[in-house]
Order: sequence, then C-alpha cells, then structure tokens
Amino acid sequence: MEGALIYRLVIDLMLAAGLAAMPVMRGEEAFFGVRVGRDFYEGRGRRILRTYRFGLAVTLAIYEGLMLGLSRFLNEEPMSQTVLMLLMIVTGTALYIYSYRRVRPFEVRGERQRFAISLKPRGVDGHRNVYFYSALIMILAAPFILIPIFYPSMPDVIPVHWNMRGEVDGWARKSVSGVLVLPVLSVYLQGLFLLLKRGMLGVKMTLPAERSEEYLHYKEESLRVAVALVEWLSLLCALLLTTLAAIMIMAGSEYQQFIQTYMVKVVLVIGSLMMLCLAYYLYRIWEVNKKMKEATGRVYVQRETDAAGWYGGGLIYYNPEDPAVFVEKMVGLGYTINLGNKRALVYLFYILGLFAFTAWALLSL
Amino acid sequence: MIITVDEEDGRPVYRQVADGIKALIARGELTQGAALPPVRQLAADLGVNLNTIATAYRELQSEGLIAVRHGAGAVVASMTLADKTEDQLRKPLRTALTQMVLAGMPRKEIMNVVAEELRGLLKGAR
Repeated sequence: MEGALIYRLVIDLMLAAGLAAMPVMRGEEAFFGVRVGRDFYEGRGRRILRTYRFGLAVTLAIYEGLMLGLSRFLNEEPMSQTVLMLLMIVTGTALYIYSYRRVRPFEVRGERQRFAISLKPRGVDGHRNVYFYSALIMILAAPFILIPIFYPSMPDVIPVHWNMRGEVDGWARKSVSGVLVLPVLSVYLQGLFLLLKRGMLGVKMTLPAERSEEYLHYKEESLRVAVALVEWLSLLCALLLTTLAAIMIMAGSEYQQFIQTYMVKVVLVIGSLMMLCLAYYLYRIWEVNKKMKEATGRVYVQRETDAAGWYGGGLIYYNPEDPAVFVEKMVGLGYTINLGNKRALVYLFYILGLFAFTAWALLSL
Repeated sequence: MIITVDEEDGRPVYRQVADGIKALIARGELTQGAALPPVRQLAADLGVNLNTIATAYRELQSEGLIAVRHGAGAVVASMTLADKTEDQLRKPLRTALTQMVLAGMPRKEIMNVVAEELRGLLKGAR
C-alpha cells in the first residue's frame, strides 16, 4: 500500500509542477497564453503568477490530504483516487483560466512580421525502425499464440485484477472474449501510437526569419526526442498489456508459481520505466529549449493569424483556416491538435473509440 | 533550403513562395531531381490555404522548373526556365530599374545594387 501511495504522490507532484511551470515556459511570448510586454512580465505578471502557484499548492495539499484520508478509511479504492486526480486537474485548469483572464487585458498585439519555412520534406520516411517494429510485432503477437495453447487447460474462473502486492483481488468467468480483451486492446492502442507518431512528424513548423537554420535544427531535435518517447512508451505499453494477458492466460497452469513471483514484479518495473521515460523526455526537452534560447533567442514562433486560434489561454487550438493538424502547444511542452481541422477529428474519434473499447472490456470481464 | 515570407511585402504569399523556390534553384541549393515538400506541409507551416501553395507550384510547373507527379509529389525538373524570350526576361528588370530611377537613386548606386544582387545569386554552386 505504501508503494502505491508514493507512486500516486509522485504522479500528482509531477502534474502540479507541470501546471506551475506552464504559464512561463514560452516566456513573454505566451504568458498564460498571452503575448505580453517585458515590463508586465517582470512586474505585475509575477504577482498573478505567484497567486496562481499558491492556489495550485493549496489544491495539491487538499487533494493529497483527501487521498491519504481515503486510503486510511476506504481500504484500496482505486476509482475514488482516479476521480480525485481528475478533480485536481479540473481545479488546476480552472485556476489557470482564471489567471489567463487576469492577464488578457495586458495583451500586446504583434506587428506584421517576417517568417521562414523549410523546404525539406518531412514525414514518416526515415523514421521506420525495423528492430523497433519487429520487437513490437512479436510482443503484440505473443498472447495470440499463447491463448490457443493454454485456453483448454485454464480454470473456469480466472484472475483479472491484482493489488500492488501481486495478490489476486478480482476474478471473472473464463470466456474467449474475456481472454481476448487485453491483447486486442493492446493492438488498438498501438494504432493510436502510430497515428500520434505520424501526426507529430508532420507538425507545423513556422520559423523565425532570423537564425532560421539554427531554430529549425533545435526544433527537429526536440521532435526526434518526442518521437523516441512515443516509440518507447508504445513498446512499454505493449509489453505491459502482453504481460498482463500472459498472467491471465497462464493462471492455473504449471507456470502459476513462476508468474506469481516474477511477472507481477515485471508489471511494476514496466510502470516505473514508463515514468522514467517521461522524466527523461522532459529533461531532454528542457535541455534543448535552453540551448535553443541561447542560440536563437526564442523558443516559440507563430504568425499573428495563428495566434488568434488559441482559446482558454492557449489550452485549445481551433483554427479552421489552418491546414495544420498537429501544432506545438502554445503553453507547456509537446504538441496538440487543431480542433478546427476535419483531419484532426480522426484522432478524436480514435480516442473516443478507446473509451468505448475499455467500457466494453470492463463489461465483458 | 529555407525561404522567407514577409507579411509587409506587397507581393502575395504564393508569389513570395514561388520566387523563393526560384531563387534557391538559381543559387543551386535545389538541384535537379530534388524533392519539394508536399503542398500540405508548406501550407501548414505558413498557416495559409492549400490553394496558395498549389498556385505557387502550378506557376513553377508552367515555367518548367518543377514537375508535379500525382502521388510522388513535386520535384525540381529543370534548372533553366522554359521558353522565355529575351524581351520577357527584360521586362521585370526594366520595371525594377524604373522604380529605382523614380526613387531618385543615382546611376552608380543602381549599378552597385544590380551587381550586388547578382553576386548574391551566383554565389551558389552554379
């Protein structure tokens, strides 16, 4: 139980730190998603930022307290903890938007500017790694090979949920659809990762007219890091779901003891690796951004016409005029989709499909 | 391999893109057979309509500089302009020189500007 708490606390802290850093990641170019003057950024803006961060700290303290209380009195209640985390995100976002509204009156309109674009074709070409895909396909296929072998000898009731100590705390009746849920979900998730990777490689790249080459160099570097993160996460995700599926499929077989002692630990290791990947990615991006700021003086460039497409202080991008699907986030790190573009709806529908799939999976188990 | 677009420039965006690509070909930075990015990529980077970039590509195609093959994208087809008479080539130069004279630039300075621009253009591999 203690392990689970620490796990949860680390995630919450990372979340809160991200929210706290978000408004200033792009400097005065996007302070709470608003372009402001240097004076405001270093003067009055700091006070708004301090209030926002204080609010975040109070929110975090309240929710962590609630979480501790819950875990004390309601022995293991994963659902309530997830709900608490969602509440924390909602509160944080509300605080952010409130601060954005305070900053908005001080917006500085940019003048008409010069921009640059690169004529180098970008895309998935040159990002196809044979080893990566071979490993991925083997991991994805493993459960489909194991199922026919072990299904006949599986007991009538199979374990479907484990606690942090690796003890079974959820059972279900054996059925073909029940055993197939995890492997099929895994394949579906890989589709999402592929879509993401494809979208990210085609991300919008507006360059400044000065030092364009250097700027492009660093942008490509951060894109490479982000794509590598997606690849590692997709591999780990496939490994995680395959391990879980294997635990389920091989329960009751002669390997039961082996699974009980090792496989469950493997699941924990994979979870930690995913967090490590994320932390490493954040560090690398921070490093690239720092070098970029030194070399080119900027970390974010967009045309004034595109800047008008952001809503909620740069949280949502809706610009039907813009043919770009993936764009760099105005605040925070990483990429987001242009909700005004019909092609972006594919991603939304795919993610909605994931929820539908999970609901079906939970019902069929 | 970078072209700039100036919002204050009087020329429309498609013209700036076409001229930018032409300059890269003239300087030898884009050589025959070099692939150009898909229309969608350039349009997205600039946040302009797909038609804007498509128009620029069409113009370059009609001048014989690039070839657009369906599915394969656009490539630089030739590094020389197709069928342009000397008169056609002289016309834009005459317009530009007229502007300079009307702006009151002395003859010597105009010569310097022309020489400087030409030097910049021919600095490449050609």
